[in-house]
Amino acid sequence: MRRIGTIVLISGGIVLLLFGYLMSAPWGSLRVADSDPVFVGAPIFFILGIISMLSSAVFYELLPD
Amino acid sequence: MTRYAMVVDLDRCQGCRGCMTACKVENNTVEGNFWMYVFRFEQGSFPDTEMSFMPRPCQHCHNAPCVKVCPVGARFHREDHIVLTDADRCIGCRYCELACPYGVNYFNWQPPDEGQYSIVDWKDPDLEPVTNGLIPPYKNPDLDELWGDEQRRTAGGGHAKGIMEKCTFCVQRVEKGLDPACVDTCPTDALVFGDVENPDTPISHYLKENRTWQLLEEAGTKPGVYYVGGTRPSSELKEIERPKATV
Amino acid sequence: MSVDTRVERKLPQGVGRLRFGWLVFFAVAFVVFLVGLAAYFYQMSSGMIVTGMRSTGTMGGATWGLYIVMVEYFIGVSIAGVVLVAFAKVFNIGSLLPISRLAVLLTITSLVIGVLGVALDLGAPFRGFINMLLYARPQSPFFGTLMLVAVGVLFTSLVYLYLDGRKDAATIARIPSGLRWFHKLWAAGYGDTEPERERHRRVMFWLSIGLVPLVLVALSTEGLVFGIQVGRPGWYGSLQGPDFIVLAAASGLANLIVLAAIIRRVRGAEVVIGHTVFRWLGSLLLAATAAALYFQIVKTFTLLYATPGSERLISDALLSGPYAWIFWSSLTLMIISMILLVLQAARRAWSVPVLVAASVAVSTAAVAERYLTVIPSQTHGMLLPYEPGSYFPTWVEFAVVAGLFGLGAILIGGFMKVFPIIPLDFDTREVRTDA
Repeated sequence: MRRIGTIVLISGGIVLLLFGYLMSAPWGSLRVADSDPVFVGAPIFFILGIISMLSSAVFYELLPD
Repeated sequence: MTRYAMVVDLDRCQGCRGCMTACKVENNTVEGNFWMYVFRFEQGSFPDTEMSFMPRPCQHCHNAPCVKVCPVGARFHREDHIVLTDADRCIGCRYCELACPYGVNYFNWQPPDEGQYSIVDWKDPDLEPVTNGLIPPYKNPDLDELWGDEQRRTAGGGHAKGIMEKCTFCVQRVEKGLDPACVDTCPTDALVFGDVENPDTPISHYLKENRTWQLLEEAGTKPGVYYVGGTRPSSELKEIERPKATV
Repeated sequence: MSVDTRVERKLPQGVGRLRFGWLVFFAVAFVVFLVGLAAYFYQMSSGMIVTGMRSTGTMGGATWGLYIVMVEYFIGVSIAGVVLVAFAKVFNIGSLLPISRLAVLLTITSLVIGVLGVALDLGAPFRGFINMLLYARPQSPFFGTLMLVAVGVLFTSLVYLYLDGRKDAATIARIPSGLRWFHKLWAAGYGDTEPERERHRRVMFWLSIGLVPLVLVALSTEGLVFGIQVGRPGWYGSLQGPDFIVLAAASGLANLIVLAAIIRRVRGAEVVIGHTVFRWLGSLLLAATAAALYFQIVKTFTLLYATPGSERLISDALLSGPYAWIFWSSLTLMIISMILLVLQAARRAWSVPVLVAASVAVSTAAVAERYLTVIPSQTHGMLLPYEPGSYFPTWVEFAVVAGLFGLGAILIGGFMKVFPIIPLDFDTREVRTDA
């Protein structure tokens, strides 16, 4: 249970992080539409991803077996 | 597709700095901020000296370094190649200013009301009945409009303290089909503005008939401002007659 | 939880007891912090015109000034603490562990004031906070500063501090005091059983492994802020990142040495933070300073032979122009501290006062180096023939920066009064956990 939760937090964090990154970074294009994130607030997902990944350590250590 | 650009014919420029004044009047920029700036250069040593002039608006680069570094997308590049600043988005980090090799960005170091040029003290109580508290006396209402497809507040200056501003090619005029204020005012027609994708515009003819160069081509910024004739800036040139540019 | 039978009923290491000396220290730090805060409010209300910064080009100023210099310095300092502890955990270097909590605390403190420094430099700070969340662009190096450094490294360090402190929290939570609720909360039911210890070791190991690349990537973006700029002579180059990290390591270790020496003194912990700790720190500082000096000398030679076109503007300004005195004194300071460190290493005797002197020299040189990275390229690095500018900070900037130092002192000093700064495994003088 603890192990699964940790894996979910880490992999979920990576998914969130990548999603947040890609949604806030339309690379290479100079079009106006691409100077902004795909949707407003996309960077928040990046932050949540980092926090989720790092919280896994606390989760793993604190939760009982 | 439209691609706006400007030609500066240095062989015609006589260094009157009328464009600088027109820009200030049109865009309500505060003291010390010169969106359009005209260098007056001197070369050689007395008595063999030669003067030259070089207007320097924002270069509206196609590969703009300021757009790349903006952390929040306040500086952006329009479809028609005008580079603009969103006055409501800018957070005042001034990174664009560092990235720009041309030095065209100006920060509002103080509240715009206090930074305005004034011959008289507009807050003087004796003047109150005359001015009705209007400070500065006039501000073009177009500057607070939202322009372009993006509908962002991009026109003019003096919006708020602590944000970055720069030449907009007078987007509020261009949207109405007018030339930028500097181009309109130039007595010698040294400045030409228009759409270079359309072969029938005056600027396209000008570019076809003249050899042009661009400022700091080696920086790879692909500027949207073309220079004709004149003297290229180099370390040989000494700047003279600087206007009061500090605040 | 077993009932504690010890006679000793006081919290260890002066936690929870406010002595006169500490009160004076805290009051001074607090006053300095308040002065900085007042200066910042003055800056907010009058606009940044009250600073010495001005636009580059026609205004002939530097648009980034002392704030960004100190931000670069503080964020640099943060690298040493947590990375050092990570290495100590992974490679099992027990001699460094007595200062592990202090090291992580140094990282957290310098990150907090470093990131705060960025906010102080913004023209529109509140909007900055909101807009970074809503519109942050990864293409800008600021994304690295604010997302990876401010969120990633800071959060990791907090997790590190928290998890590594649970055992001590559980120990002192058994002692009745006004802070007991806090210690109980921190301990979160830690019972110091063998499975728990094993689990903690495992978490620490993997956290340490993950932390080092994160810190390196995040802090390299600080160098990239300048390294990717083609428009300013003196900045463009792939070495800005590594150069930042190397000097960061040296300045961070220097700060850690000074802090460790202070803690050792005020806590009377000459034995606990003993010779081995300073031998390690001294050797590491020697290595980091050697690397930083190497970078500096290579840079100096490159400048001397300068240089194509516009780079000349910067080399002249640095070597013989208005920045020459800073440039040469920073180089001299680095060489002096290098000599001090090498002498000590050769004699295999690390004297704490000499080490502290070398550290102060390295730290001062690091501030100077950050200054030389940030400022000259703005005042003298214009590619169009603008006249060279100048920059000198105003009292507002000095006061705000002093306020940041004050805040740092408050954070570290305050922490010492709510939690033992030296892990109790090593400082067994006051608490016998096996009683």
